[in-house]
Amino acid sequence: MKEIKEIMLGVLIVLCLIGSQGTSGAAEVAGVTKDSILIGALAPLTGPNTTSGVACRDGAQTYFDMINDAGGINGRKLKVTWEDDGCVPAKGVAAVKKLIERDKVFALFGGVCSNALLAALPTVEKEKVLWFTANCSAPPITKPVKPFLFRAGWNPTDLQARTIAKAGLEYFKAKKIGIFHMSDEYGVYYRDNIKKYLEEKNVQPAAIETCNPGDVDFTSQLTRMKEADPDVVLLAMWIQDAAVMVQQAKKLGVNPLWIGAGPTGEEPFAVMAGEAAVGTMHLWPFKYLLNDTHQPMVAKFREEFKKRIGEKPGRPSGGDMMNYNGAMVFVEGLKRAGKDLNRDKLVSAFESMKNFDSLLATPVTFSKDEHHGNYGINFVGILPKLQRALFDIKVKP
Amino acid sequence: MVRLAQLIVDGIILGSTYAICAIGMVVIFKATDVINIAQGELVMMAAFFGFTFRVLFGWSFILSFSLAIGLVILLSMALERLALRPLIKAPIWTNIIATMALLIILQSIARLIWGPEPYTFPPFLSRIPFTIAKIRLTQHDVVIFGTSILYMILLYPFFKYTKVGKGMRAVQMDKEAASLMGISVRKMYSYVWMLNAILVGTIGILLAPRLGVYSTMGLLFIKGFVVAVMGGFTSLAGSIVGGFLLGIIETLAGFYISSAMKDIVSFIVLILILIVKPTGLFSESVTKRV
Amino acid sequence: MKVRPGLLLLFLILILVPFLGSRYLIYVVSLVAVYGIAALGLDILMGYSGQVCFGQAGFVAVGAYVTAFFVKQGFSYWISLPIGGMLAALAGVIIGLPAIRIKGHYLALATMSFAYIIHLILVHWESVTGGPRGLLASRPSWPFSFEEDKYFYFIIILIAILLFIIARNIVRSRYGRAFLAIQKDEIVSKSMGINLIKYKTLAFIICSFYGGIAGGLYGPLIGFLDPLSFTILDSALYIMMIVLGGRGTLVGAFIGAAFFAILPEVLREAQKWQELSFGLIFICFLIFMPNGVMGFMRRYQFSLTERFRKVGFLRYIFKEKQWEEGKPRA
Repeated sequence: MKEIKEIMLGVLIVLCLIGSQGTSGAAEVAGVTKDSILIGALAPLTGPNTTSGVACRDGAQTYFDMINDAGGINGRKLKVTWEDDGCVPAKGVAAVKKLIERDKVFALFGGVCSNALLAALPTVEKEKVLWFTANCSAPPITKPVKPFLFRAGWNPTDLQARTIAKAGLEYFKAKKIGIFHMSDEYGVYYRDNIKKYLEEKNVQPAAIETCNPGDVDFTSQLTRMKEADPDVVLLAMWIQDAAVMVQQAKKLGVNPLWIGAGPTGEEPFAVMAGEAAVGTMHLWPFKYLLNDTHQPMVAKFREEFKKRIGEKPGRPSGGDMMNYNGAMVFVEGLKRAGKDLNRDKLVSAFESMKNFDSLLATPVTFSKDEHHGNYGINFVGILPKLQRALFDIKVKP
Repeated sequence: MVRLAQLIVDGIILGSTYAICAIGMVVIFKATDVINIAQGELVMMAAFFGFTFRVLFGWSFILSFSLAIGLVILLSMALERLALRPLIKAPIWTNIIATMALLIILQSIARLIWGPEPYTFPPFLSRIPFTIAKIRLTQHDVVIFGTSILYMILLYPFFKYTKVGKGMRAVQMDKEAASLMGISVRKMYSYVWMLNAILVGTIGILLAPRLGVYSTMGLLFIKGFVVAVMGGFTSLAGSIVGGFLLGIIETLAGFYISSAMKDIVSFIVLILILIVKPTGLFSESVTKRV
Repeated sequence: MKVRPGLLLLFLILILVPFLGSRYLIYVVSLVAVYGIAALGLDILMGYSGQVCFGQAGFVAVGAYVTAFFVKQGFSYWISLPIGGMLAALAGVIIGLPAIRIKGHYLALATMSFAYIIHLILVHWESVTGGPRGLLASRPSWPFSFEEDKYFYFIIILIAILLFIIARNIVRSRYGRAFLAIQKDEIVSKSMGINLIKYKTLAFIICSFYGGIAGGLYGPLIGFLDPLSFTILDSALYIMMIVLGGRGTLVGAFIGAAFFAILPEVLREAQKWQELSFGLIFICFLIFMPNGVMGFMRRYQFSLTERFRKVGFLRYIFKEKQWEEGKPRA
């Protein structure tokens, strides 16, 4: 009897804590007041994908703070609440529900893991809240078009895959192509789309190897690959796994041309892999390299990032720049929606964006039927002494 | 044939690291009945400590190594005092879950102090492979393997001849009797955790150049638990054999079957071993006949 | 039937939640109920029959994916859900077989292996599970659409209450007594005529069935299934739930579920200190309530502060005086 009472009390208290509705002042349009716009932002800030999440938050917040310092958007400052989605659907749905229903945000930004976004989609569509992301690259997010979802940044994974496959086959004239991919969502999309592309060209992959995120020993896969002896291997792996793998490959005498996907284009990969990374190529979604400081946009980014977050080896990273850029596109959309803000106008504002120039390899264009803003991607090659060079291979998927 | 030999050699090197982690877990378990789920996290902290001294402060490798081991020892002892000592009288499950909580805490501390990004640890030896009898190795591999074997060899006289070692064995056999004989059980608990810290700390720093240093690297070492159980959780020899066995099975299965099936095969073999010998390969006989 | 005022209050709150609270609150409470059902099953297995199981996430996964699969094929959700539970129960039989001979941490490893195998199947059997790309799990549409969170919430709560009552009846029956006997001493139980194989397997079936139902409810609640939600770490979470709530207390399962579902949400405010705070709070709970929340409640019904008075926190960290009466000093 007494126990039940105590439990009850506990439950009551806790429920009250959660149930307490946070209000953002009487506003006709949720999240918009006379001098502020409330934005909800998501990123994995705990768990295994924290690196990407922190890059998302730091890069984007740099731009948001910069805009606020310059006066805001149409006279309103941006208030951004960052929530952790842990890269799992359960937490992602909780975060989105909290942001929309409790915090009453005007629009959503960010997200890194596609599955968490897809899980939260019904909530977003029910409430008609716009969500812009620079990262979640799973194809279903923009194909078929979801009315409230917009993306400009990383090309959808199917196109990324086709791009590196095309580069390997046509630009590098590979006689034998191999695929080495992770067993997670990103890697699997890569594998399927590379295979599809190769089938269209009547080419059989010489070897397809897979590994799990977090693996440290690739001897078995590499030994098999050595026998198949491809001259080009398309790589879809995360940074630390890929770094360990290429070193082991070098040790075992497996030396194809490694063409990597997005994650391996980041600097830490080259630093961790050392000599083994020289001569590899990776996807690079921007017009410029991170150290092209003679380009004003890059210089401004680095300066702002250093001022607000601080520099250290590996930061700012490509991920930081990607989300800084994402924030840029997002703010552009907000600006176009005008002073008289509401959610429908925001959607139209985004859909009206044409050829917006940002740091991305191609300008951003949206329309009613196209919610992914930029198609086309560059490559970065790693030269001796870990210098980098941009290659515009002009591969149109 | 050479290929097979290469795979086996790589498997043995991999296995030696599993074995060391397993030994640490078994030593702690035998003395305190606690299964240390946070074993991998101690490896991770050692790697980060080493990284801090070597890369961030720029000190020499030897100095960084020693300091890092020292810090991990202090950390282990602190954890034992603060988190596990209060739970001595608690049910065993509470202790095990407490080590899981430690796992969460250590990972989050690492992320808070150093950030979630992966870092590089500079190699302390050449990474250029050389060939012996047609098998490719790096100096690094040799050092890892050599150190593991060295520790295994040193543990034998440690447990047999030193006072502390004998004290640990006494506590493992019978806590109350040991206490009656004048051995401070509390002190032995601390020593056991210290020993574990030395073992896993070494692994952490030796593997850092190869794996990188990042906050989730501890999860790799769950294999230590697997190996320990395979070996019977009661004997060190079992952990050693189990470690090598698992390393070899993994690399061979990964090559001959497929990389996706690599893990499935390891686990199936494990289950088969347990079905045939429910208390692991080398366990001291625990059968009760009634 | 005597009506306890405390229980009535609980019912009242549960009913009011969807009307007074936001959809966020409804979602969180639904999650507590779903985790609670899985933890409940595990409590019967680990708390009552004393068998270790690191595979609960695997059973939840089986239930979730099987239910989603059958719904996709066109079956009604109300048929798919029990099918999910039953197939999970089948998995329970398979995983329970080694349990007859293996015990303790060996069983932990064996069940861990099975859970890992199920996870690998989820990832690699892409034609059925969608692999790492995930699977959409839709809500029932008969007799009316359950898209509205409120309605599905009531289904979850109803099923949770039903399963709790069943669980309580099981543990109060001779089955429950057999489980406890087996946990206490297998050899004596066997010599008293308790068929070990039958009861041990039964415990596994109950645990996996509950897990499967929890999974079948979990899918439509979140709307999306991802193999990353069903790893060994998630299995460990269920074990943490019942230990924190109190092993072998049934109610403890829901308390643990509440802790693990609600606390991370409350801690969102702490930004980057979220994880660490969670870990620290967790370990404090374990240190102060080593027998779980329910274990603590049962011993110290009268006053929460009595425990502190008896123990003196600082003392046992720095001075280690004997603070537990009647036990030999170590």
